Amino acid sequence: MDALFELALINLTTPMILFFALGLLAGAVKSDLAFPEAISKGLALYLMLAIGFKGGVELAASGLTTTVVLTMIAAIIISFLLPFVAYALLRFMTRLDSVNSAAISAHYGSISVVTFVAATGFLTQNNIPYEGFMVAIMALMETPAIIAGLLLARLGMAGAKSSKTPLVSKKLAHEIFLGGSIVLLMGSFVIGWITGSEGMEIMAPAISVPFKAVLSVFLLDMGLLAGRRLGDFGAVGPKLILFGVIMPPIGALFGLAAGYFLGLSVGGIMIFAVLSASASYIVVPAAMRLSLPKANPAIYVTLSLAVTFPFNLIVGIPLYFAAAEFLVSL
Amino acid sequence: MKTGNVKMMELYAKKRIEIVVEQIQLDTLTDVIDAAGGSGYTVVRKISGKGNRGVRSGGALPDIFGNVMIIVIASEDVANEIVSTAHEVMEDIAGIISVSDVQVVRNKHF
Repeated sequence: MDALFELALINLTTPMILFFALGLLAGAVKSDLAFPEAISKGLALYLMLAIGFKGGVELAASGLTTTVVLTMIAAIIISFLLPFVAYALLRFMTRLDSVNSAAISAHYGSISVVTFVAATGFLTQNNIPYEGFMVAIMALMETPAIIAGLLLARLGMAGAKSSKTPLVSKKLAHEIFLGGSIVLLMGSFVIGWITGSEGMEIMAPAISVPFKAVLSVFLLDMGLLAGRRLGDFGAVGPKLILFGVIMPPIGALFGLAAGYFLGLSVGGIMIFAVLSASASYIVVPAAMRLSLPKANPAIYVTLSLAVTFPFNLIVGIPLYFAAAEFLVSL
Repeated sequence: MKTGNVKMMELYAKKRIEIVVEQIQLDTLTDVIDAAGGSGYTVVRKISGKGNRGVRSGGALPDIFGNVMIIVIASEDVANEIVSTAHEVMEDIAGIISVSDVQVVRNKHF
C-alpha cells in the first residue's frame, strides 16, 4: 500500500499533472486564460505525430510477432465489448434513457489519446519499458466502440424507422476512419515503421526531448477545457458522476486480464489497462453528434472530459500500474 | 440645396436564407442546398450565442459545441425547397432557420 501511495505521489508531482491541475483550476474559476485554438490544435498534432512515429520505430525493432497480432485482436474485442458493460451499468445505476446511455457507452469503449500519452509519460519517467506497438492498439480501439454504441442505441429504439438506414453512414465512416488525428497517427506510425532507428535519429531532436514539455503545455490546455465543463456537473447529476469514476477501473480489469494472458510486460499491461479505462472526448463526441443527435452532448462530454479524464490521469495511472505490477509478480 | 432621390439601378427580388447550425452538420446542410438547386452559399465559421439549448460557444478540441452560419440567396422556388428540406433534416439538430427578402444586383448569379 505504501508503494501505491508513493507512486501516486510521484505521479502527482510531475509538471504534467501540476499544469493540468492549474488548467483545471483556472477553468473552474472562469479565468480568461485560453490557448489560441490554432496552438491547441498544433500541439495535438505534434503529440499525434510524435507518438505515432515512436510506436512505428518500436515495432520496426521488435517485428510483427504473434503477440502483436493477438493483442490487436484482443483490443478490437475489448473496445467492442466495453460499451455493453457500460450500458448495463448505466441502466442499472441511473434512470438515463437508452439513447443517452448508448451514447455514453460508446465513449467508454473508445480511448483517450491524451490519457495514453500521459501514461507513457509516467512509464518513461520511471524508466519502465512498454511495447511500442501499443500505439497501434490504441488506434484500433478507437472505432469498434462507436459501432457498439450505435448498435445499442438501435436496440434501445427497437422497431423505430431508423432500422432501414445503415448503422454507419458514409459521412460517419469518413469522420471516424479518415479524421485528421487518425490519419496523422497511423501515417506517422507507418513512417516510423519504415524508417526505423535511422529515421528516429533524424526525428529525435524534435519528437524525443521536447515531448514531455509539450505534453505538459498541452495538459494545461486540457485542464482548461475540463475545468470549463465543471459548471455542467449539475446537468449530469451525482449518479452519473459516480458512474464516471466506477467505469474506468472496471474497464481497466479487461485490459489488465488481456495484457496478462497475452504475456505483455508490466508497462504493456498497464497501458492496455489505461486504454480500456479511458473514455474518448474528441472522436466519439463528434461521431455521436453526427449519428445520435438525440443524445445530449453536455452529458457525455462532461462525463468523459471533466470526470473520467482527470480521474484516470490522477488516480487511474498509478492504480493501474500497481495492479499490473501485482499481476506480474503473481 | 436640392436633394433628389438617388436613382437605383435595376435590382432583382430574391430570398435570403440564414441557417445557424452546429458545425458538424455543415456538410449535411450544404448537401441540402446543392440538392435543392441552390447556386452557392456563404459560410461564416466560429460563431457563438445563446438559444433554447443554452449558451453555445465553440471549444478547441472537442469542437462539437461550435456553430456556423450558412447564408444562401436563391429564387423563391429554390428557397422553399431548401427551407422545407432543411427543416426536416434539422429535427434533432440545434439550429435556427430564417428567411428574408433581399434584392440582388446580378440576377443571373442566383
